Amino acid sequence: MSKFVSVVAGALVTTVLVAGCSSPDEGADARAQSAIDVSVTLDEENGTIVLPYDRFIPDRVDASLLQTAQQVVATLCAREQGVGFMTGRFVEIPTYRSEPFYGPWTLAQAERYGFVSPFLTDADLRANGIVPEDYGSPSLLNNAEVAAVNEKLTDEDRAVVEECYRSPERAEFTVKGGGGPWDDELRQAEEPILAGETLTEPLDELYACYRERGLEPDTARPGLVVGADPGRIDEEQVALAVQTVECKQETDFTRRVADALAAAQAEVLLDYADEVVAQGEELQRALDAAQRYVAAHPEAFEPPA
Amino acid sequence: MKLGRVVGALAVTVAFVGVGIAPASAYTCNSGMMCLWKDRSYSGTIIGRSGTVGSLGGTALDNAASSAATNGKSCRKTWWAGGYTNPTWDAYGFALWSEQLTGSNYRDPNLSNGAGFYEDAPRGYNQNMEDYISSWQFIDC
Repeated sequence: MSKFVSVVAGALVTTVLVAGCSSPDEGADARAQSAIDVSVTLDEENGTIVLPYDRFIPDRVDASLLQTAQQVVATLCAREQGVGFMTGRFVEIPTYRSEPFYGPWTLAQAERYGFVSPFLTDADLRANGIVPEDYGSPSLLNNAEVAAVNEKLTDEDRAVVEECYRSPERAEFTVKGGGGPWDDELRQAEEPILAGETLTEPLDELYACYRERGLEPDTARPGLVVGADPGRIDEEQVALAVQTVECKQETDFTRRVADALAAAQAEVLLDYADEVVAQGEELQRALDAAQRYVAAHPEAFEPPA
Repeated sequence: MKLGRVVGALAVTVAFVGVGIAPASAYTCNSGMMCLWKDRSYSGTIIGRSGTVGSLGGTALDNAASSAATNGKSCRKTWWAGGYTNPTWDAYGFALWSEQLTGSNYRDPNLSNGAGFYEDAPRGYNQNMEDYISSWQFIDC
């Protein structure tokens, strides 16, 4: 899930703030808890769903920015040792914030992708063989240029590059995560919902809608229908995907399930508010630093002199 | 973070598009490919694929891979997931980076103790990914 928040026309936002204190310690706890936004944002225009915890973890675009900064560190380090390594430039690609939710959940996703992952760019679709080579827009990335430079490296050069990733400078653009007790508790809280063990009503109603349209629910893949193929885009798949999204809209499926997941997350997040807020602050610091660093070193994205 | 070539190991270059057997400790993943091995440390039955996003359904590596590598020529990352075990799909999986495009994080000899970097899969980080992969996609192309 993306932490990107974009409230656009038609998106529904429900915000619940927790407040109140009666002592210094309780005041600190309350402040941390009040920083936990437990709302859900459904951004239909961009295909993004923001659940509470998404606001404290990196999304795909964040990951790309942080990793570009890390790669610049290694590139500059390698060049200082005479190794002509080059790295790919960072481009903020909004498509990477789109996401499926029990399959496509917006008509735009269904019409463009069918059941294929809606975060794939045209270049990704071509590279994966889902669409022809002449489909869509050119890549925004400079991977071909990077490959042409880096293919000239020897094994010894590559060892230098790999060692350069251990530079202490890299740490500024990494974030530690995934090891807190809240991560396991979040998974445990969400699992019954995602597995369809609890909150059965939305799925039951969605499946009833599918059946009314002559579609057979695929119970092995919650939210999908028999015949849905996440590996191809054609008229048949698009038509099928559009029907599933229409049913999701008719039954308000996405909102109801997202709200349930958000409520499950909120219980855990409020218990660990201090730690989760600190995690989010660390992420923002790293992102800010990465943005400055990448902007300051355009030479890393050009062939070495 | 799983880094580092096996220094001094016998390197066997195998060009493949399907399924084969890799000798223990040999490691290679050709340009443009993503690679999975049935056993840890890049050994056992191997499958290498380029292009088509796919399911491993029907192959010996479906839900059976223990080590992985990627070397995309036009794509910076490969994303692996456990098929449709999670309806939000992208929540639990991992990514490795192209060896030739990034020079790091391009392989993992043991998927049981987590794979890839936290930023790429914050919800699935440090999870056991062994015998879990059933699909992949090249991304950042």
